[in-house]
Amino acid sequence: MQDVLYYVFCAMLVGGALGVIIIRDFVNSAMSMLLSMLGAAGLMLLMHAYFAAFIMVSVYGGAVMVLFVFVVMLIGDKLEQRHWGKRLALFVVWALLCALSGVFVPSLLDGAPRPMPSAGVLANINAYGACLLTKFILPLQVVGVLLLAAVVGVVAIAKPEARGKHKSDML
Amino acid sequence: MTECLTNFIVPAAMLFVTGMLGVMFKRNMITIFMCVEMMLVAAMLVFTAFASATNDIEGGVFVFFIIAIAASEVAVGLAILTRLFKVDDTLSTKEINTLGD
Repeated sequence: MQDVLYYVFCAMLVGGALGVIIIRDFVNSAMSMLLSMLGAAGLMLLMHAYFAAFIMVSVYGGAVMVLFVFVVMLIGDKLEQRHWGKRLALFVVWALLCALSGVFVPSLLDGAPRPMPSAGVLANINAYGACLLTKFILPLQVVGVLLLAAVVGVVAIAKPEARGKHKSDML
Repeated sequence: MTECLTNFIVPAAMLFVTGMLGVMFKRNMITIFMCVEMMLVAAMLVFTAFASATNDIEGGVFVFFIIAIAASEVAVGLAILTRLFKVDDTLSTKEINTLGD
């Protein structure tokens, strides 16, 4: 059962990623990326990292993808022109690089398969929170400051232009 | 399949390669952004895999930080994109050359 799930999630992950770079329409491309993120969350579930999978689905599948689709709908940019040759070349290069990584990554890991524990420390949400609030308390606060800075920066960037200024002066 | 570390690193490597190809060859900035996100997700998968294999929680905590940074990066980046689109009326990396003038 787990093996079947593993293959399904891997296919979602890699196939969705391929769709992002092959599909021309932006909304479909964003949906393809959503598929890829769900595959990544599924792989995290198989690694017993349940909390990581949860924030993956809620932040990526929820917030980030909604933001992407929102901006795509808002902008509605012109589609790229159909270049079948370019797409075919992209696909071939992608397949080659994927095959290369499939061959070389195992040898980088010494070829000796490390065992994964059946339910390790990642499944333990108490240890997760304790580590976050003791050892990583300073990075946690820095991340808080970063998020605040991001919010303020987005407001500063997106606020309407000041009157009397030329459009190109604003960048 | 799920008892071996390599089986989780290889899909992450493929995801990273795909994102890298997208950043290098795509013309539209929204797609490039999505590809950057894919590379970050690949890093997250590797962190989780090694944390699980070494039974060490710290790699798992790093996933949390990566997600926070990716979220703020997307917010700021998309705001810049909408702004850029207002000024230049396109998002193609071929046509945006405002800084070159």
